[in-house]
Amino acid sequence: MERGHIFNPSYVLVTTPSLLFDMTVKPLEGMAEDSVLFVNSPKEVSIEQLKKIRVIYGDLTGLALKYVGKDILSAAMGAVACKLSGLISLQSTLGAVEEELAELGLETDIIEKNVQLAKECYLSTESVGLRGLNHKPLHKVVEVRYLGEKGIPDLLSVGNTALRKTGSWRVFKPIVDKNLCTACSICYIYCPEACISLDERGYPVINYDHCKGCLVCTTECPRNAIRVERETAWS
Amino acid sequence: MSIIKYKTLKDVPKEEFLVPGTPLCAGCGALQVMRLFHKALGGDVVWVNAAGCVTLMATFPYTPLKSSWFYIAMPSAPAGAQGIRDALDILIKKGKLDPTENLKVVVVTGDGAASDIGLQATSGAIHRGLDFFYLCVDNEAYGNTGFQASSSSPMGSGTATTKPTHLYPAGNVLPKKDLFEIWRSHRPPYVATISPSHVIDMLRKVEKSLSFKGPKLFLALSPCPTGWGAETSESVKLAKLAVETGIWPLKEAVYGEVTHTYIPSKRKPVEDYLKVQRRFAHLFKPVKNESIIAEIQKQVDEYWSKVEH
Ligand code: SF4
Ligand code: SF4
Ligand code: SF4
Repeated sequence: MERGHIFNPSYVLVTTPSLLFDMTVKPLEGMAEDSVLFVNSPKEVSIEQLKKIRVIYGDLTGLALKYVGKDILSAAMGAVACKLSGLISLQSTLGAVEEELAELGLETDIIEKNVQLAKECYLSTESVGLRGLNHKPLHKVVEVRYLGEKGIPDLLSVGNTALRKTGSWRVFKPIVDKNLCTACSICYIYCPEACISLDERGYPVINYDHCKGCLVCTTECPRNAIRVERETAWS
Repeated sequence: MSIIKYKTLKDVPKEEFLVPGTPLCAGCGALQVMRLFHKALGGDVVWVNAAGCVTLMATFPYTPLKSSWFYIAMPSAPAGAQGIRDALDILIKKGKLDPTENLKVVVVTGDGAASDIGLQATSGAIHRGLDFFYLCVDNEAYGNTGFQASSSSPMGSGTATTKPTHLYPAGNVLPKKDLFEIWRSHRPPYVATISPSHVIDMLRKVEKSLSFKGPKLFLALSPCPTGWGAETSESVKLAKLAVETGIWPLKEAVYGEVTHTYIPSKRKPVEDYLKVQRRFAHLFKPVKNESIIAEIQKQVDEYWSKVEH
C-alpha cells in the first residue's frame, strides 16, 4: 500500500465534521473545484467554503450502529471510498473488507456484520469517478483560513487544545440525572478529559464541547445516574 | 507523624492543569493518569517527554497543559531533565530566577521509552541522583505507532508484532520486564506503582514523594482501549481489575525498602481481567488455552506468596 502526502486530492473523506476546520488536520487543503468531499454526518454542514466543491453526506455512524452495534467506521469509510472512485467493484470491496478483518483476527460474525455494513454503504453512495490523471489544478479554490479567526496559537499559549472541540467525536452522550445523583464526585474524578466540573453544590456539569463520549463516567457512577443517548446534535 | 492530605475522594484537588481537547483516544488511561498526577504535583511543573502517545497531546501549536512541556528524542528524556534541572538551579543560584519560580522537572514517557529505548539514560539519571520525577504511563506496548510489543508487554498478549500464530499460540512469549525492580535496584529515594483506579493511593504517593530530593519514579498502569481492545468506558474498571487480580501490585519503595500499599484481601482470578480484552482473546477462543492462563495465574500467585509471608 502506498502512503504519503496527497497534495491535490480527487476526493477526501472526513469521519467527523469537526475535523473539517481543524487547524492541524486541514483536510480541505489542496482541494480543487472538481474534487469531492464526503462527510460522515447525519446533517449538512453549512459552511461558506464548502459551496465551491461537491459535498456528499452520509450517516455512516448510524449505519455502523445498525449493522455492527458499534461506532466502528473503517469498513464503512473504505466502502464509500471505493464507490466514489468508480474504479472498484462491490465484489472486490467486500472481499477486501473480509480479508482485512480476518487478518485482524476478528470473529466471523463480526466480519459478516462489517461486510453487510460495507455493502449498504457502497450501494447507497453514488459514484463520482476519479478526475482525469492529466489534471493539473491551477490554483486552490477551497481557501480555508485555518488560523486567524481565533488568533494564531504561539509557543507560549497554554491550555489551547480547548480550541479543538472534541465533542464531535461523541457517538453517545452521557447525561446526568440530577434526581439520582448524590454529588459523590466520582465521575468528575475519573473523566480522563477533565470534561466534568462540579457546580457550587458539588453536582457534576459535563462540558459537551469537549466530552469525547468515552462513557467512563457512566460506568463508574455508583448510582447509575448517568444515562446514555445517541448523539445527534453535532454537525 | 505526617499529616495525610488525601483521605477521601473529596480531597482530590479541584484545580485542573490539563484542559480538554487533546487528540488522545477517548478513554485513554494515560491521559487519566496524567490529569490526576498533575493535580497532586501542582502547577509548577515542566514536563520532559520522549516520543509516545502522550507526545500527541502537545503537538504544536496546541497543548492541553497549563504547565510547560519539553519534547526530546526517545532515548534521552532523563538527560533532558538533567539539563533543565541544572539550568533552573544555576539561574536560581545566580539570582536570575526567583526561587518561587522554581519548577518540578517531570519526565513522562510510555513504557517503550521507559523500558527499552530510554532505559540507559534513566539509569544514568538515577545513578547521579538527579532531582526529578519520572512518570511512566505503561500501556504495555508501543501504542502510538500501532501497538507493537515492547519489553513491557505481558506474556500471553497479542500485539501488532506478537500476533498469536500456530507456532506461537500465546502471542507474546516473553515476560514483562520488571521496571519497578530495575529502578529500585538503583536505590533511589522513591519508586512507586500507581493505578488510575486507585486515586487516593496515587495522590498519597505523589504527596509522599514530594518530601524527597533526588529521583522519584512512578510506574502507572495505563489502560489503552485502542490497543487492549476494550470499550472506552471500561478503562477504570480494567485498571481496578488489574489491581484486584494481583496482576498490578500497588507498592512503593523508599530507598529500596518495599511496602505494598494495597493488598487485595481475596484476589480475583486473572481470567476476569484477561477475558475482557481483545489482546488476550486468543487465550479463550476458538479453544481455551488453559495452560497459558494457568501460567499467568501461577506467576501472579508466586509473586504474592512472597509478599504475604
Ligand atoms: S463520556 Fe468520557 S469524556 Fe465525556 S464526560 Fe464522561 S468520562 Fe468525560
Ligand atoms: S458519579 Fe454519579 S452520583 Fe456521583 S457525582 Fe457523578 S453522576 Fe452524581
Ligand atoms: S493508543 Fe492507547 S495509550 Fe495511546 S492515546 Fe490511545 S488509548 Fe491512549
